[in-house]
Amino acid sequence: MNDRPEPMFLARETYRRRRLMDAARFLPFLGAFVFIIPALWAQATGTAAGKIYIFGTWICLICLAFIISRRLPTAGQADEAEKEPGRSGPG
Amino acid sequence: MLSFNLLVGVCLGYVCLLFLVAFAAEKRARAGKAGWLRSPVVYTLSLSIYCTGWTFYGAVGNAARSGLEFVTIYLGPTIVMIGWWVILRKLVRIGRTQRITSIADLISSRYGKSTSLGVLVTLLAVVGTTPYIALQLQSVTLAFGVFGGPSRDGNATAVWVAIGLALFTVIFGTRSLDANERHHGVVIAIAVEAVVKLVALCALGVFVVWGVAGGPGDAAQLIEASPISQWDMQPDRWVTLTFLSATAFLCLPRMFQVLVVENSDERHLATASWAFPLYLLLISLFVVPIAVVGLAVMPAGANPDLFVLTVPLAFDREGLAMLSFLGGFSAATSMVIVAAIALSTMVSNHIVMPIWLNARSGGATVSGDVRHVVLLSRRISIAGILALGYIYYRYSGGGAALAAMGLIAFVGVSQVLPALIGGIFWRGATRIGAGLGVAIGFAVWLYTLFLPSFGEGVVFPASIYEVGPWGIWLLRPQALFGIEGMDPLVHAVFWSLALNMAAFFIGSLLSFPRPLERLQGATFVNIYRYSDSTRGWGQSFVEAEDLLVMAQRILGAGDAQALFVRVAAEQGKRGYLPDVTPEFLDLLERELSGSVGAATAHAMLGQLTGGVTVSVEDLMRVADETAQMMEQRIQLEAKSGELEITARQLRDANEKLTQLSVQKDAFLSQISHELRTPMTSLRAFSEILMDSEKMAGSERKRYSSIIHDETLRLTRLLDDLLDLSVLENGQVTLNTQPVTVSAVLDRAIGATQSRDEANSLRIIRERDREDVTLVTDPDRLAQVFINVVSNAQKYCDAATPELRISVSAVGDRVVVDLIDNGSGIPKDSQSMIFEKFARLSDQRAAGGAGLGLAICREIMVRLGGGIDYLPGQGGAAFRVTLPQALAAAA
Amino acid sequence: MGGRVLLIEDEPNIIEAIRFILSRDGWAVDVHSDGATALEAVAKRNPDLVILDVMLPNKSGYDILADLRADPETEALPVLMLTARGQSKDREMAERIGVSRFMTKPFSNAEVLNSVRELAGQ
Repeated sequence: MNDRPEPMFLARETYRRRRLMDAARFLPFLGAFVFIIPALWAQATGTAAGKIYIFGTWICLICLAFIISRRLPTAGQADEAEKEPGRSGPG
Repeated sequence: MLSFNLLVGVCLGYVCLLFLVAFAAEKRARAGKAGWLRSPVVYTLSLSIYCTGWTFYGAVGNAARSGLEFVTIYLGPTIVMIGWWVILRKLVRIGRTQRITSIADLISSRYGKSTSLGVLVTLLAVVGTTPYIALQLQSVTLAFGVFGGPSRDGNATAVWVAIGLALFTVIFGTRSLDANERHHGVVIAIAVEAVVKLVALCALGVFVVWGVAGGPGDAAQLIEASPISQWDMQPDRWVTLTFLSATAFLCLPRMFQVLVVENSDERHLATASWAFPLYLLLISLFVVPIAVVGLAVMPAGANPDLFVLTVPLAFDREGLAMLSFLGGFSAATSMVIVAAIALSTMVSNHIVMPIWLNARSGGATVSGDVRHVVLLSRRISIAGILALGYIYYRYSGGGAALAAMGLIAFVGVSQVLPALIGGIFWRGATRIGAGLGVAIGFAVWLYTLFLPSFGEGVVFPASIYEVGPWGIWLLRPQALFGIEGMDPLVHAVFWSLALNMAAFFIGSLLSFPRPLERLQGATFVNIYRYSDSTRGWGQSFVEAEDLLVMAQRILGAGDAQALFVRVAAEQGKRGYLPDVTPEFLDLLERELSGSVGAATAHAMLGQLTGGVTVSVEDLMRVADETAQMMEQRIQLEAKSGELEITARQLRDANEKLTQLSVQKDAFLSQISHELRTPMTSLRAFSEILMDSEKMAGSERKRYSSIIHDETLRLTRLLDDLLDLSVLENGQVTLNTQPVTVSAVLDRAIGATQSRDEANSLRIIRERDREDVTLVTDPDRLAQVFINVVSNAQKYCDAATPELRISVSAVGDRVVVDLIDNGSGIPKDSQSMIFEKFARLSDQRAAGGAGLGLAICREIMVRLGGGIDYLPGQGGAAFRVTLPQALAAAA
Repeated sequence: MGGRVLLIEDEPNIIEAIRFILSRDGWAVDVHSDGATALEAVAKRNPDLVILDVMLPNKSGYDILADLRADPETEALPVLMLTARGQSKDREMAERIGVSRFMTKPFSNAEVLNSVRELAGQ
């Protein structure tokens, strides 16, 4: 009988979706954090190096946003009811 | 050197191209083929109106002056966009479900549809946007100056640019009234301009890095060697500017327009969340190299704001300079267009409409075409806003660095932030708090930043900066409360927003909201929970027909009728007049607010429904705050709503059945009557003729002719009955062929007029709109028109009877309205007239058996269309709809 | 012969036929075409017999008959009713109200004449 793990798998799916939404909420705070950092050390840094830092983190944030937006469910369907798993046991 | 005339020519050509693009997009959208016009890519590109002429020219200038600081202007929006899940998603959802038309509308709607808040935010937006528009005019004028030399008159250029922009905006921005119909043409034009900006700046960047510096490595060395090699970081400015740009991104009226109002699909936001930061990154990638090269090759004292143009010219790359110019031109124009649209919507909905409504209090909903007033006020507002921008440009000295002017505007519009964010996340926020916060923030901004921006001694005498107004040292505009040494911008942002938030918070805590405010607050904050219903209307006593009359004035006849039919169908009713339920009033209010704003729509419905605002039921809903109760209630409501619809449908069906059986009896009895009456005459006179031999010739002739006429009447009746039965059984063969509506109408009117000269019905037609070709059965269609026209001849009771025939094509359907100026058909008879033998007044003189409209209805069903009575048009009005081409059905 | 007959009917051709038949037999025929004022016409003309149509403008023949029967002046007045609705329930209805004779259209001329002679009973 291998239909036991199925509900577990679905639950985990929902769980992961919830955490993904948390990530989406966290992302702007991460962005604000990394962009404020230069205010602490920039006095001692050259423009070229600063530019590399800013644009580097910028690209990272864009990539994260891309990944999250691709995986997030379309609006409002986050709490979809779990479907009943079909029985597919031998018999 | 490029000639100035060539430049003007290219510019005009480019503008013509934009006109064509916008025009084509509008045309496609009208034909229902919006498709890719509304893709996530177009949405993302339309957001690029954030990058204005300031970005294009000013960023390089800023980089040349203070190194990497320019990038903060892009970091703020990046944070907002990647955080779309938190704020933007909610804003867009609210905007879509509540039919929000502008940021002023959002604030007004959230705080109990308050008119005064709407006015306040609108004023703030107008004052905050004016320097921004001036900035765009300045950037275009400066750019022209680079090519035209100093002899050219900068003011003349600015005037022409302002006039051209006003024209474009009026043409494409005020075409459709309902903001939810969206401006397809404008959005596409902006997307094109977005691409031009990006390509121009990147092309120049590639040229500078690879063409001038010799590769990225050499470019880095060049940066090291330049005057801005050391990052001159001012931490307070860095943080403040990042925060400010994030705030402005949310609060700028034009950004709200493209982000929320023009959004057609929430999912586009997901794409834009990474694609727009990418756009920003690309557009700022080459700013530092361009600035560095500019500093190296241009003579000292050259305006760094114009490096984008002067650097390629210095290397004799005229094509590149031209492209750069077009990029800057695009950036400036697209911003002005969208800002003018957004502001004009706000001005007309929150200032002009309330004044107009007040001026005509009582009668506003009954007379006059509101659409016309709204559109006109928008057009005038657009012209006024551009004129203001021009005046600011003329009198602000025009010399201030571009970036400084842009930032002043940013701080101004940012004053909406506390009311906006508080409004969608905090139910306790009240109208008083929001009003106080915005007003105080606005005042502080004016005092510490906006008015000083005109220069010392222009508005405030220099002494105020030294010792404060009336010698009050604590109130010096750039050192409030004695705190000195702050950067003026940081100072203004800090104090205006701090006092704003404090007033907002304390005002909200201490005031008590009105019921409607609490209702709206709950809806906005919990927008995901109950997506589409706001209760504002209790039971009231207003006729659906009056509402239809009003809605037609605002939404236009076609849309209003479609809405009413849809709602009636949802209620399980047929026809144009749904029951006036609170749900229906809510829906209607939301639809109307899409056109005239929430507060105005609320006021207009209030006038009609007798000032009902909030019922006891609504108050109870507000009091009921636990989420669980709410959810249960919603479920119950949904269920009882379903039950109600089913019950209503059953009741209708039952009524129909009873009616049918009554009708069958009545029909037989009617047939009997209609047949027996002529037969009585026939029998009586034939017997008379049979048994009186010695009758005078004239008498005999007379009686024979009566017999003859009665036979004809009988034959006509039998023909009608046969016709009806053939039609009802669907055994009719249609003789379809292409024909114009005009031809069919000509035939029908010809046939009716020869019949009755004395009763002169004047027929008013619009021949140029009748030239619609149909594939249908012209004989049958003419039969329908003949029937309606001759009914008007018989029954129209006006002193000078008139029949107005108007033809319009809606999608692939043709609609013919025939409206007379009589007293119309009473409401309770409207549902009967298409029944057999339904003669309303029992006038035999009218002739005919009362089968005419029943036959018409059957014919129209066979032709794939329908005929309906159209209420609320003044006289008796019939609407004939039919498909442009009849499907070849068996 | 020579009594007065009041014909309450609104179809012009039928009026003409009945008038012809009855006047040929020596009756004086008055005609009235409106249901609402039919009672006044009866009072004014004071006929020996009323011929009453059922489907009349503004007031039905049944209502007129009921009013006539309710008034002591006219409760015995002979009323011949004509109808184009030939259903039995129409006849029952008329008889319940107190019609003197009920005839279905189309009628034969001789039948009408005989009925008038019998009812006006001279």
